[in-house]
Amino acid sequence: MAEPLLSIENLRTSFHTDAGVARAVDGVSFSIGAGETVGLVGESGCGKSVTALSILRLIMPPGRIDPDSRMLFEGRDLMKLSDGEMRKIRGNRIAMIFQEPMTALNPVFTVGDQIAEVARIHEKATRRTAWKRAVEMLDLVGIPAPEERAGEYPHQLSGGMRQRIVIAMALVMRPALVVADEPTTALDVTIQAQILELLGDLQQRFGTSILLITHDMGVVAEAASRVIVMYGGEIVEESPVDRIFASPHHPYTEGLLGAMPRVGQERERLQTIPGTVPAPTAWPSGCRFHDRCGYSWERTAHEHPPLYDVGPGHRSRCHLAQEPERRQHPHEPVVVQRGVPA
Amino acid sequence: MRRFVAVRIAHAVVVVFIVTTIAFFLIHSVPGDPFQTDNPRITQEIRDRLRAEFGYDRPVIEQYVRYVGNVARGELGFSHSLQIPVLTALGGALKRTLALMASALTLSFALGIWLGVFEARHAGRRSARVANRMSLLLYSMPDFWVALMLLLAFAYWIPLFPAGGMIDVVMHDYLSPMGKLWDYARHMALPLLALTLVLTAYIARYQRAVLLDQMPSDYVRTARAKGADESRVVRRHALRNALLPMITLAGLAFPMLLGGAVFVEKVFAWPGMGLMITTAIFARDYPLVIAGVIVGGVMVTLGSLLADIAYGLADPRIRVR
Amino acid sequence: MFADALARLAAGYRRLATPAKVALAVLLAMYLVALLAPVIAPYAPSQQLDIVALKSQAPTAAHPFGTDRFSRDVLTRVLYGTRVSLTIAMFAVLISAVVGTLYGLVAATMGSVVDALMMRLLDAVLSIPRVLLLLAVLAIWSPVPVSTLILLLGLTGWFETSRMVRAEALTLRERDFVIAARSLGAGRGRVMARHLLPNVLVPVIVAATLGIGNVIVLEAGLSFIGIGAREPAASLGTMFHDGTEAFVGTWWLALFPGIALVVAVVAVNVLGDGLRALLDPRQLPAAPLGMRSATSRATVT
Repeated sequence: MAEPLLSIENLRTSFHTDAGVARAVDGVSFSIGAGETVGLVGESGCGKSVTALSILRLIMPPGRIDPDSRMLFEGRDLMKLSDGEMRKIRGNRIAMIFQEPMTALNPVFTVGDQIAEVARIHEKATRRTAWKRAVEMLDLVGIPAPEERAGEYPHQLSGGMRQRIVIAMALVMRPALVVADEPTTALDVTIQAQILELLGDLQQRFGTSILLITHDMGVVAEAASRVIVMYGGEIVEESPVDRIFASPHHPYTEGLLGAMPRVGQERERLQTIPGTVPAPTAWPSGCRFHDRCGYSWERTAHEHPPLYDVGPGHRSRCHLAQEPERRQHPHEPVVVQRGVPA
Repeated sequence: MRRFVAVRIAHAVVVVFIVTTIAFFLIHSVPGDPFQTDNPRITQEIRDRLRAEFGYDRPVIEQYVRYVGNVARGELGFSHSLQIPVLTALGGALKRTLALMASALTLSFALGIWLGVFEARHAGRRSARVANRMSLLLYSMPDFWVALMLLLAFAYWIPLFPAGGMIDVVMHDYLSPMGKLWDYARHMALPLLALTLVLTAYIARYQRAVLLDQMPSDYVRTARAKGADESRVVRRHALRNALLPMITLAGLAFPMLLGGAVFVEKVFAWPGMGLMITTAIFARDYPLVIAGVIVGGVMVTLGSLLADIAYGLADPRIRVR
Repeated sequence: MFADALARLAAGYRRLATPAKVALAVLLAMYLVALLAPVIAPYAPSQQLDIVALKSQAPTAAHPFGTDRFSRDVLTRVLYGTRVSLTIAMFAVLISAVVGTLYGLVAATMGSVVDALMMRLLDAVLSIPRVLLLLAVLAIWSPVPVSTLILLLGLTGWFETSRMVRAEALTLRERDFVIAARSLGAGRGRVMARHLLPNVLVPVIVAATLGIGNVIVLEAGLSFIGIGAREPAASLGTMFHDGTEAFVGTWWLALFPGIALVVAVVAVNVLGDGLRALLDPRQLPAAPLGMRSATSRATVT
């Protein structure tokens, strides 16, 4: 396999709060190949958004990326770059798409202005050429009458349009990597599909890699070729997308899939994962999922599992990889036994 | 936007009317009139004649209706103490107060916004903390006390500036036009500084707070994700949003300055509205005092009206509608 | 209900930022010293010590703050003046808080017509600079006893509080527990007293704390002009009035009372900021003397 575009090794990001040190991202390693779309999945609070912001080094105090983390991008360690060098990468080689297109845009500037700003920053483009670029980008992301729209303010546009603006803004410099943090969550279902389609189109045209962050396995199934599942600040499963849907290994992934409505599959009701994501100031010992898990046993409560290889390109942080027979004996998770509401 | 302005103007008219009413009844609710005096030569007879002449013998309601009608026509009555029409007296004084206030307003906003941005931009650093504490200290000082201290320091101990007045009464007429301007500027320096120091401190604190309030916004993060440097993030993205509340503040600074002007004008004998009103108070010159309150109310209403319109123009979310 | 708010405040004290704790300590110490003025002060406040030898003396060991032109000891007068200034401010703010809270609650609960009327009236009174209003009233009533001065300061200071209380109460009214209470047949008065009042109390306390600073400054200004507090209840502001009449060369007459004043106001502001940061972190700094709250513009649209 060729050198990956981005390779993250042992990323740790923590927040120093009054309640203690929150280890939001706790030793995450993965890579993204050129032109690849990787889905990063997990419940809110699992550390996926912090991972995304860490890649761009947009973690603000009291948050802090552990200096021993390594993030190799196009042959350079992002951690070793100066602030100025990092700024040359942001919006240029790595761009970000945010969840809330309303608040992500500045309300007092026209959308054209905001898109043009990227070219102004990175190419020192003149006002006029930058504006032309903005109009081109609006056209590219499928906004009708782009010249007119460019002169409008965010509040004058619909949610779907705004998300297209945010995408246009991310793609001005034809970045090698786009980090998309829940790009469709705030949108209607029909608009969601359109936006995913647009992202796919643009990726094909420019060969951009996408790190797609979502809590929705459906979105992953539609757009990604590889999936990384995060739980409790670490990766718990990583697999090609077809494999994970056919045979998920980690019980948490099973839970996520069970919580996903699927066509053609008769189910009485959607399953939910009992309990809630633990607090990042105090991750549980052993397997971080053990008290919400229907297979847990003695060992899972004490021994923190490593990522086991469980198939081609498929890894899972679950002791079931060594004791597969235990899958035959599911039980009620500890949180349910304790009576904590699901 | 047009509707917004129309509604705002209608509100302003109503407010001014109510202000007039309040001012009138406030002062007439109190016993006594300007002709009450211990002077034995003013007999009851003379007093009654004066009262009749100036309409003080009519029922209060009638006096009120007449008064409101007069105010609407711009007739504010006759000042007993100055022996000139109130309008003439206030007109000149208002001009001089406005000159002082406009200068103070401009200067404080320029300085205050700059300082606020500096404090927000370097939040957490020593220099910003020192600036922040200085502004808290300044803003806790009564403006007249600042004025007294400035007077003491720069008019008596180090006599750089004149101690009071607006012009050098002896020399002014003999000065060249440039010399006149310089004379005027020298006299304005200390009152201006007193008003500006306190207002700047407040504006800086407010600007800092609204700016820091913007910093956790999503659009600020977006700007950073674009590769914008901190200076661009703060000065362009956050500041443009944080300047909107400052427009409102500019409208609100009017009453503050007007109040401050009363005391500061007294300290420096600046012949403006404040000095005139404080003098009128001791002369029991009702028409002048009422007119002062009304003019103050009108100015405040006008200030907030202008601020609201400016806000509407500056905020695309209102402007475009 | 008040006990509840007090208990919350007491619990909050421990979480108060250090500068605010220091400010509170300074304020309490200052007031304590001022209250004990009759015991601590070296002389009586209006005692003319020696109208010839001790007239307008610069600070000496015997008179650390100097003497005024009536040969009165300035240190003594600062102690007594602080007592007057702080007392006036605290009682005036208490009146403002009570009146403002009541007015705001009534406006919020009496329905839209009454509410609109009450708010327009408020717009109007807010448009008269407080200083001018006070000047006008005091001009006629002067000289006024301290109690009247307190009343006047209190009655011209509640406008912003009532606006804030109303806004707060309006949002509270839509909250579940209030709707639930109303659906159970609780009357207006009961809803007001049992459900709205306790919840608006905390922001009122914060606003009142910051209001104390404003009133100290305002009262000092009025007394400086000569229509505020006067003998025998001379406040710090009165001392400026005495000071300026023979100002040249007698700097101590304005400097020392001024420092006492500024220390008190800084302490109040730091304490208020600390309280607000703790209880109400989203709010912006309070408007100083004579300024309307920035939220007032919201009534237009």
